[in-house]
Amino acid sequence: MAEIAIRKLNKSFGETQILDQIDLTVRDGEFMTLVGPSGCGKSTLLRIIAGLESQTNGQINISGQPVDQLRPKDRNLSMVFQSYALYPHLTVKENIATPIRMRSYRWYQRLPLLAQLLPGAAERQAGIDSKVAAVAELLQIEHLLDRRPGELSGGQRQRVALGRAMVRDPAAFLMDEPLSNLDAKLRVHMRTEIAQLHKQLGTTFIYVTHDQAEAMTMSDRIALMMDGKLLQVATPEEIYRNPVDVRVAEFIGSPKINLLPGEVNHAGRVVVCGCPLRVATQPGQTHIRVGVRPENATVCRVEQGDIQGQLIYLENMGAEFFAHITIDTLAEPMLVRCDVEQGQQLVLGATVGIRIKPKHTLVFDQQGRRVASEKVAAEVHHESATA
Amino acid sequence: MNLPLPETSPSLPRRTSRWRLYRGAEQYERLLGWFLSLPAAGLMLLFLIGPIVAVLLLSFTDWQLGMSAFEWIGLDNYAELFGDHTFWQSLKNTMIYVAIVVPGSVLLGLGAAMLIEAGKQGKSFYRAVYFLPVMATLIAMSIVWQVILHPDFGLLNLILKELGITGPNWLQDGDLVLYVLCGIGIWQQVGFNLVLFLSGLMTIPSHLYEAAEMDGASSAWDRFRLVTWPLLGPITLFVLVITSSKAFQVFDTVQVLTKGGPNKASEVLLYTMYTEAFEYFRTSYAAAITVVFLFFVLLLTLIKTRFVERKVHYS
Repeated sequence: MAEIAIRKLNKSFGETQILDQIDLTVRDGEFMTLVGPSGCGKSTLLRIIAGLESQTNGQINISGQPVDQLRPKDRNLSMVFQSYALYPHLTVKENIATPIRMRSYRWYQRLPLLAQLLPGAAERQAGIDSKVAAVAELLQIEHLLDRRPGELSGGQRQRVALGRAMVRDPAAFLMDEPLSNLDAKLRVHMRTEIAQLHKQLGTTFIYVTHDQAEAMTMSDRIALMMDGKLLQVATPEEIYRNPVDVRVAEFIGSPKINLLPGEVNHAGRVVVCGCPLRVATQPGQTHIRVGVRPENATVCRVEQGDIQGQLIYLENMGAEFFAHITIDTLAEPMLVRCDVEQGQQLVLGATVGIRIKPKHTLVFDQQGRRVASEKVAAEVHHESATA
Repeated sequence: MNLPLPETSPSLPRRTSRWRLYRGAEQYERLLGWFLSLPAAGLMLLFLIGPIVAVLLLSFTDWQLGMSAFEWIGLDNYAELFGDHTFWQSLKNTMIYVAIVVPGSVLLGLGAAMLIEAGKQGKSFYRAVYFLPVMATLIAMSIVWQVILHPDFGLLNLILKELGITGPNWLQDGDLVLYVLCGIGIWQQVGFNLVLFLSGLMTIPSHLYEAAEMDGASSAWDRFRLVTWPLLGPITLFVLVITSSKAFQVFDTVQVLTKGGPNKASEVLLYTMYTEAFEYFRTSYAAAITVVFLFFVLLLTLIKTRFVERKVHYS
């Protein structure tokens, strides 16, 4: 149980800045996910927290204590590695027992043969055995205890690695892309299991992944990193609805958010492809980008739409459809979600209107920063007048 | 044209003929396999198994080099051998040599490999330096050692003299000479083992060391016990076998430096065999010594495959 606070952390290899002024507080018992594209520095940050690498400057506190000078083993953290890093010569049982043996035994208590003759050896072994058994039961790997890692499947190795991390009640778990070596189906399954494990244990988790779906489904909060910088730290809900940067909006969400180039007219209305939307923001900006998630737009008749385009492709997902609509002036087609009923009625090649929900439309300035925007009040009057 | 068309409907006779065809193909394949392995099998028979059988048969005769006839004398050669003081001395010396050179060169090789691997610079330099003795001809190197170890003007004793110590006559002291040869043997073998261990160390994934670090293995010894030593298992086994068989074959240094002396203090199996065969021309007697030698090599191979190999391969 611990709060982990990172203050003004920097890491550079020579000229290359890997981490740039990272400030992050992971609350006690929180499931925090560090997410970002590969090379963004998230794994380096995790390894610095673990103590496997040292920062160039900055500070890390665990439960209020600075740990910058402490070796990994004295930080009382557990880590699950992407490749699991199980000891190939030890059985599952011995693998899981290793952290306890290493930490609570003196060196002479670990000597082969001789150790068994020392006083208290039997009790010590029994203590370890019961802890290993408890962990194995929790992870449902009791039947594997006498096997070696080489005889296990990827998912089983994953559980053993989790067991080795869990066995000694660490202050926090660090997980470095633990699911990326599993096949897609198992990955989704283990996602749930790890999230449940977190609830059961109540320990702080720091989880590194490049998969936004993992981040969204498992975390209490997400820390999104890019190019060594922390762009946004927020709950999955918040980071999806209110991204502070266009890169965050692009990274989170599948299918990707639609980004439409636009401008703001003198009245403060956002204009896309020459058509004013029912969205207002600070006037006088050119070259803005308007972010619309596929579910925040609807396909409608041309005259009802804010903008119009040609339907070129319909992606049938079973429970919903995604309409790909090309708009004259845009290079990429816009994705709009439709329900099944509407999707079945749409005709490929037809010209359709797209109605954009103003409430969830995101506006980004030229630098990609989020700009405050709101639904145009006049439109409300207009709508209520016609109703 | 009225060509006989193949029967299209499946019927019993057709199935049996296909079965026969299949059996024929299988037989053909088996014959082809034997045929293809013939050159290798022939060479093996000619150069490995043939000579071994010849030596074994020879050891039951009284044949000597140049004689036109021989008689079967059963186990007489072996009886003489096991009653011969020189043979037992030679066997004992060989065992002592193996018992010192094998652990010595394996442990030194491993230690040096780990130091080089842990170092930041000059890895290839050190590797080359340690490997030099392996590349050099041992006969030539033995002559260099002879000069170094010379009691009066040898480099070693000159240095000792500077330090105020009177160095012994290294190669003529019966209590010392075998250990001097062991030293040279280790010097010669360490580089080879070191290079093998270095390549073994490079295959150990670094995340295992990180996992060990997280698990609390913070001292170098803990990391060695938990990761390095177990993961070097296959390499260590290979090194042990190679080093042991090389140590059993010690000959060059003895031939150049001591000729088994003084007073048979450095007599080793292969040297005894050599003198019996090519100085006294007692070919059949030398064959009996060779059989004893082969017995030890075979024993070593058996230990390797039966017991150790199972314990070092984990997957």
